[in-house]
Amino acid sequence: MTTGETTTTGTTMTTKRSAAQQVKFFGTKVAMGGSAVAVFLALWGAVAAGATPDASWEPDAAGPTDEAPIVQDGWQWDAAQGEWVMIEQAEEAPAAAPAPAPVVIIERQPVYYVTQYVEVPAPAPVKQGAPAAAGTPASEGSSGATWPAARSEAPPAAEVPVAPKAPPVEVPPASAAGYAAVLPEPVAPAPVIPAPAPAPAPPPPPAPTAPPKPASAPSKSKAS
Amino acid sequence: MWLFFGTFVIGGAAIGATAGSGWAARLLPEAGAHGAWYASRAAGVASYLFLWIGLAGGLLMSSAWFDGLVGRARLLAIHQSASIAGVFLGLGHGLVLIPDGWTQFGLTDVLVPFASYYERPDVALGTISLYLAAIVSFSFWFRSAIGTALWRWVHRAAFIAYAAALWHGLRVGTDSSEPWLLGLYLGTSLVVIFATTVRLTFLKAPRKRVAPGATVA
Repeated sequence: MTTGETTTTGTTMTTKRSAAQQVKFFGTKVAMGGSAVAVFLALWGAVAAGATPDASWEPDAAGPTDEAPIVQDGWQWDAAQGEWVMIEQAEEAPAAAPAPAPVVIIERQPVYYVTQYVEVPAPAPVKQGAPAAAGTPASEGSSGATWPAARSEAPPAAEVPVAPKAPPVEVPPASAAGYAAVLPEPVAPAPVIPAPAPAPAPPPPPAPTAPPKPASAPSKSKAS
Repeated sequence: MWLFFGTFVIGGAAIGATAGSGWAARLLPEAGAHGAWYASRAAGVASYLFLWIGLAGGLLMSSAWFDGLVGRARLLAIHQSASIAGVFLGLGHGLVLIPDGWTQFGLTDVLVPFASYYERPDVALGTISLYLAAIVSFSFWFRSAIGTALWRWVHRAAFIAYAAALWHGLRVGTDSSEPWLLGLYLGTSLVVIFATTVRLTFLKAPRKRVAPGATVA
């Protein structure tokens, strides 16, 4: 029985096989095909049996709880709704609750401090030297900021009685160059300048008018 | 016959693909809605395995060194059928991904090289390997038409197809990190290297020229 006819380099070869060989030949092919299907099905079952629902490749099953919430600039990504939602202030806990209400950041904004220097007319020269506030420590401001202590180059005014320390906050700072630091915001009412302490003569010089000083501004005292 | 095999393989894969929660998937443990995905992985590994059998069978056939092991006729049947089965399995491996809801591969991603959105070069190697294997395998029936010399050259592309399939499996195969599959890749590769070495350095199969009409047992 002729089962195949091949051409090799111009010579035709005709191969004849018996019926038994023919059956064996096709039987081998059928066996291979069947084994291919069997291997495929076996692997399919093995893969399915060995597979565990892995959250890493199954986003629906994983859900947003597996990951930390995405928070940015006061907004939190709501994966369920597919939108950004603003983080709201947490309600205050009842008074009986021992734990304080959690603080939730609503919004973050970069804060810029602008320091503006304005020229302030220098106070009238005092007859007998530097003002008594020259020795005021620099750290008496309300903000607690530690600025470098000013050095007074003025000659010691021995004949001038030492005035009491200046009020911590109300005394406006004066820079060495006659400038006062001014912060544009927030606008506060003008400071109340206390009456000069009862005092020994000569009385302290009048405090120069200065813009309001915010609470967060560093105090700065400087001998003139 | 091969139409029957191809239809059977692709049909089996398509059952899992289109009815991941259906009848075929229910037969499998924990298949759920990922029956198509599992079918693709299984078909990919099976395709590689049968392409390797086809390549190794061809190498054994062409070298007389192994003549005593398996009969030439049976080896030819194994060589041809395994190659074609590997092609159909590879085709099913790609096509079954199309209806899968998770991978979101389209027809273009699967059939056009370098068109895949995922791991483009490595997936493209798989597609190229499929086409080369198909050309080599179906050239059985066109040998007389294209001539033996060209047929031999075409057959050498089987090495490229095998290497591309191996690389594709190693790079993007989900199960490629499994020890059993790594062992399979290593063992099959060693066999190919060994058989190729034997084929190139040792004996070639003696060819019997038979006059037309002569009977060969």
